Amino acid sequence: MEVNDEVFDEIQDKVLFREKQISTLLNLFNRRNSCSCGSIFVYGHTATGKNYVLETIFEKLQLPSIFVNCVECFNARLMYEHILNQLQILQPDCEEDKEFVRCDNMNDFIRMMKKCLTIENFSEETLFIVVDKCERLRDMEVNLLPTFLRLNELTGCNICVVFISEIIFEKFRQGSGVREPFQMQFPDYSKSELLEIMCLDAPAEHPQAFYHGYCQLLLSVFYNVCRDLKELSYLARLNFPKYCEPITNGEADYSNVKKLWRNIEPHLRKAMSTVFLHEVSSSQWEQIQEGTHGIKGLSSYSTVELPFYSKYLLLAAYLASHNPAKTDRQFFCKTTAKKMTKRAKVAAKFGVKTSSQMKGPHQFVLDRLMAIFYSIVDEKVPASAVILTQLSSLVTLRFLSQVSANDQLDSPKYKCLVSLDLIKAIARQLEFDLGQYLYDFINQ
Amino acid sequence: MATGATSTSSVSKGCFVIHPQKVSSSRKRKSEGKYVGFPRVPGESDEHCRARREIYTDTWSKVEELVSSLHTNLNDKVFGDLLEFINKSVSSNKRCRVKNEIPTGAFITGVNMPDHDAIFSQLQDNLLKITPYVSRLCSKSCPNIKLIVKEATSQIMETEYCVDKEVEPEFAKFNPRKGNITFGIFKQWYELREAGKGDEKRPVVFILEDFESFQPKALQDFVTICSLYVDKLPIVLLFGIATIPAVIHQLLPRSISSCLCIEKFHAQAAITYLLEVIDRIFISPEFAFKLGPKVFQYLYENFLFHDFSLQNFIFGLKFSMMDHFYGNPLSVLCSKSNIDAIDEFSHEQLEIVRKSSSFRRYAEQQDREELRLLLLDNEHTIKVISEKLEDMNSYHHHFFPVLRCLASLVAKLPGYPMGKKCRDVYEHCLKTSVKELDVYHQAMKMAVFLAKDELVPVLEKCVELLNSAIKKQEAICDDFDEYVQALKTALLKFEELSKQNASMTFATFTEASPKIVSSITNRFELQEKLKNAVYNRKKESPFEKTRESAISTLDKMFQKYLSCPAEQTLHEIFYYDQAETVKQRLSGHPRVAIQTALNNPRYYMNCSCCDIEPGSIQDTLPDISVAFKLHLECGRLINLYDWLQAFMTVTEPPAKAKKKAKNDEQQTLQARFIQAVSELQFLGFIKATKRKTDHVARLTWGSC
Repeated sequence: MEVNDEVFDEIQDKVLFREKQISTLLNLFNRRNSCSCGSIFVYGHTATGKNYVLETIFEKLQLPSIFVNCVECFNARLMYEHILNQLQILQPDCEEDKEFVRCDNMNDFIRMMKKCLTIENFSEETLFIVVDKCERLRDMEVNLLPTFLRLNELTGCNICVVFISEIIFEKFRQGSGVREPFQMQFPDYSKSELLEIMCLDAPAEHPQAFYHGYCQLLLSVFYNVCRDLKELSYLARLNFPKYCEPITNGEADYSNVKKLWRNIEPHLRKAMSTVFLHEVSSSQWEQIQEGTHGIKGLSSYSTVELPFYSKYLLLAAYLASHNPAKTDRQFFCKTTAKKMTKRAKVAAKFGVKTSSQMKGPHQFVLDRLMAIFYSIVDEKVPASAVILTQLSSLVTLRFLSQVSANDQLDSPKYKCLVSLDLIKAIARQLEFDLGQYLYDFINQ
Repeated sequence: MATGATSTSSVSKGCFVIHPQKVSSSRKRKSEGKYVGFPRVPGESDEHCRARREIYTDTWSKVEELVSSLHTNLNDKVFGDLLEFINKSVSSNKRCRVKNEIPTGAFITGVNMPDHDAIFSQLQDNLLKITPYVSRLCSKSCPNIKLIVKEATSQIMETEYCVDKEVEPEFAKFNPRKGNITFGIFKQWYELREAGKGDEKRPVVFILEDFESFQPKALQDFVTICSLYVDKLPIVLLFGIATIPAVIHQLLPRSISSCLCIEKFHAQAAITYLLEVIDRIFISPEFAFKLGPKVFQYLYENFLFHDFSLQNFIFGLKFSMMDHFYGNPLSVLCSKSNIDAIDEFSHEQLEIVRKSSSFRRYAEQQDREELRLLLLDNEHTIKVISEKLEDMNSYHHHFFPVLRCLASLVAKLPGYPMGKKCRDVYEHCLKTSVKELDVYHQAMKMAVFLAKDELVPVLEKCVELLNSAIKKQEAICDDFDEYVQALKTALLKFEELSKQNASMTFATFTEASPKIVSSITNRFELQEKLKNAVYNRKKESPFEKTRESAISTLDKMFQKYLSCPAEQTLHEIFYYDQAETVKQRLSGHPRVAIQTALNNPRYYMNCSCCDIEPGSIQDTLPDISVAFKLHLECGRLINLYDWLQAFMTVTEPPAKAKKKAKNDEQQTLQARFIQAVSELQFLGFIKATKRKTDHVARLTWGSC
C-alpha cells in the first residue's frame, strides 16, 4: 500500500482511539488502482466516529468519493441522480454548467455509471460511494440494497460502496440477492477515551489541565445519563463560561477546585433536566442562569389558553377517552347519581385490573363526546356549528386525533391525546373537579 | 323549462346554459344609474341613500385601517426580536462552526387559528426586508418529505424566476418547474446567487406555520436534511406553535432535537389585541357608529367562548355596521360630517324619527303645545332633532373620558366589582346608567376606604384624562373644569396632609390611648369609650374628610355623565343593537335550520300552499316534511307499515278514482314514502334497527 507511515500517523492524530478500524479500512481500500473490497458495512452508535474516520481518510489520501445520505435522497431516483451528478463533478474535465442528469431506474443508473467510469477515461482509481443512514434503504425499492451491495460486479468497474448504519447487518437481510459485505463495528468510547477526546477542544486562554479537570467533572455528572460525545461536548461548551466565572472575576484560581465545583454544581443540576432537548439557545441559557430574564425552559409552559367552550370540549373528550363507556351513566346521569347498573358494576370489576391511564386513551364517537359535553357545561349551550368547528380545530392542534377515516361522516371517532397534567390544569381553570369524574380515581 | 326564446331545441334532457339576452342590458344599465346604494325607503332622496352607503364605506375603511395599524404595532416587538434573532444567529453560526446546530425560533402564536394567516403574512413581509429567501410551509401542502422539500425550495426559487423573466443562462438549469429540486441543487443555486456577497450571506428562512399538524416523520427528515446543509447554507427554521412549546419534543425525538438550537418568541395574546381594538374603536368618540349592549356582549363572548379570533370579531363588527347602515334609514345622520342632512329630511323621514321609541319618550315628556309642534310642524321638529344630535355629540365627548376615570378607579378596588379592564366597565355602563347599577354603588362604597397611596395616582390620572379631554374639545368639555379644580384641591390637601402626618399621627395616637385606659372602671364603660373613640377619630381625621370629598366629587361626576346610551334621545341613529339578527347571521345552527325547514317549510320556500298552523299536517307539504311530522308522534321504534299508512292517509288525494288507477297511485305514494324515509335517515333522524323486523329506530327524543 502506498499509504506511508507519515500519512497514517497524521490520520491517527486527527482521529483518536480508532487505530484498529483505520488500519483495517486502509487495508481493505487497497492500492489506488487495484481492485478493492466491493462493499463494506460500518456500524456503531451515534458519535462513534464512523463518518469522521471515513471523511478524514478520503481527505488525506485524496481519494475520489461520493457521500450519499439516505434521509436526504429519500427515493431511489434521487439517489441515482445525486450519485451521477457528484460523479460529473469528480471528473477532471467537468464543465461548469452542465445540465443535471436525469435517471429514474436501476438499469439506466448502471449504464450511466459504466459510461462515466469507462469511456470518459476516469482513471483506474477506485471510486468510493459512502451510503450514510443506509437503514433507510430497506424502506425504498427492494432492488436498491442488493444492487448497491454488488455494484462493482454489475458495472464491472472499480467501485467500493461503504454503508454506514447504526444497526447491525442482520436486520438488513430480506429478499434475495444480498451479498454479504465486509462488516466492521465501531465500538463505543470508554469514559477515559471520551475525556481525552473532549479535551481536544480546550480553549487556548486556559491551561490544558484545567479544562481536563472540568471535563472530568462534567463527565462524572452526566456520564450516567448521556454518553453521546456530541451532546457532552455541547454541554461542556455551554457550561464552561459559567465554570470559569470565579476565575475571570478573580475570586478563585485554577487550583481552587472546590470553590469552582460549588459554583458550577447547581447549574449542572439544572442542565441535567434538559439534556438533549436544546430547548433554549445558548444565549437564552446564559440569561436563565443569570436569572435576570424571565425566560423559562420550553417544557415549563404546561398550560395553554383555550376558548371557554374548547376547554369543556377537551375535558369531555378526555373523560370519554379514559372512562369506560359503560360507566357514563354513573357519572353523568343526574337522576341515578350514585346507583350503578348491574352491567356497570360488572364493568367496574373488570376495569379495576387495567387502569386506562396505563392503557392509554380509547376511541369514542362524536355523539358520546357531545353528550358528555352538554352534561358538564353548566349553562345551556345552543348546538351551533361554532361548537363543532372548535372540535375540528382541536384536532388540528393535535389535542384530539380523528381515528375513523375522513370520509366517514356518520359518526366520526376520536381519541384524546392530551396528558393528565394538562387536563388537570385546564380543569383547575374551570374549577371543575376532575377527580370526581375520572373512573380510575374513583375506584382506587 | 322556459318558453319562447329561452327554450332549447334539443330533444334530450340535460343542462343548458342560456346566456342573458342583449336587450335587457340597456335597461339594466339605466337601473344601475339609479341604484346608488342601500335600498330606499319611501320619501328618502337619492342623495341620502347614497350618503348612507358612503358613510358606511368611509367608516368601515377607517376602522379597518385602525385595526390593521394596531395589528402591526402590537406585533412589532416580537417581529423585531425575531429579525434580530435571525441576524444574530446567522452571524454567530459563522463564528463557531463546531456547533452545527440549526437556529430555530419557536414562535408561539396562541390558539386563535383564523388569525394565523394574517400574522404569518405580516411576518413574511417583515422577513423579506432582510432576506429574499423566505418560504412558508403549511402542513396541508406538505404531507410527506418529498413535498416539504419541494415546497421549501421551489417557493424561494420560483419567486426569483417570476420576478426577472430574463433568467440568466447560468441559472437556467435550476428552473424549479423543470425538475425536482433537491437541497443539493438548491445549495448550488444559492451559492451562485450569493457568489458576489462575500461573507455576508443572507439567511434562508423556512417558516413552518402549523407545526403541530405536520407529519412527525416527514418533519424529522426535513430537520435532518436541514442539519446536513446548515454549515453551507445559513438556514433558520421558524416553528409556528399554537399550543405549548413542549410539542416540539413530542414531535421530534432527541436525536433530531439535538440538531436544533431553540429560542422562544411569544406573539401578543389575542385578548390584549382585542381589548386594544375595543379601546380605540368603541371607547372613543371618534367613530359615530357604536354597538349596543347586546350586540357588543354577544360579539365579545363569541370571541371568548369560541375561537379567540380577532378576525371573526371584526367580521361581526363589519356585519353590524353594514346592517345598521343598510336597514336603518336614519343612519344617514350617523356621521359627524353629515349632520346637516337633517335639514333636507322629507316628511316621511321625519315620521320615522317620530316613530322611534326614544323620540316618542322625549316628546311625551314635553307639554301639550310643544308636543303638538313636534308631531305636526316639520321645521320645528328638524330644529329639535338637530339640537338633540348636538346633545348626543356632547354626551359622547363627556361619556368616554369620565368612563376612563371610573375604570381607573375601579381597577384599584379589591375584588374588582366592576371588572378589571375599561371594557368591562364600558359593558356595564352600556347596559344601564351607573345610577341604577348595584355594582357601581358597591364600588363607590369600597372606594371610600382606599388607601392614600392608591387613591392619589387614581386622582392624578383622572385629572390628566379630563384635562386632555378639555384640550381636545374645548367648546364641549369646558364643564369638566369644576371637577378638575375640585380634584386638584383634593390632591393638594393630600400632599399637605402627608407632610404633617409623619409627625402628627404618631403624636395623636400616643396622646389618645393613655386617656382611654386610665379612666376605666368597668367593662361597659370601656366599651362605650372605645366606641366613642373610634367614632370621634373617624370624624376628626382630615385625611378621611378629604378622601370623602374627593370620592363624592367623582361620584357626582360619574352619576352626571355616565347615563346609559339607551336613555338618550335618538340613540337609535348611532347604536346598533339587533342582537338577534347578528346571532342568526353569524353563528350557524344546522340542527335548528333543519328542524325549521321540516316543521315549517314555508319559512324557506315562501309558498302560499304551506300556510298552516304549526303542528298540523297537510298534503300540500313536501313529502319529507309530512314523514317527519308523522314520525314525531311515534316512540323509540317506528313500525314502517303504520308509518306508511299514516303517510298515505295524509297525502292521498280525496278524489275517488277507479280501482286500477288507485293501485297505480298507491305505488307512487309508496315510492314517495320510501324516498322521504331514506332522506330522513340521511339527515340522521332515524336509523335501521335489528331489534324488531320492519321497524326503524328514532334517533331524537320527544317532539323535536
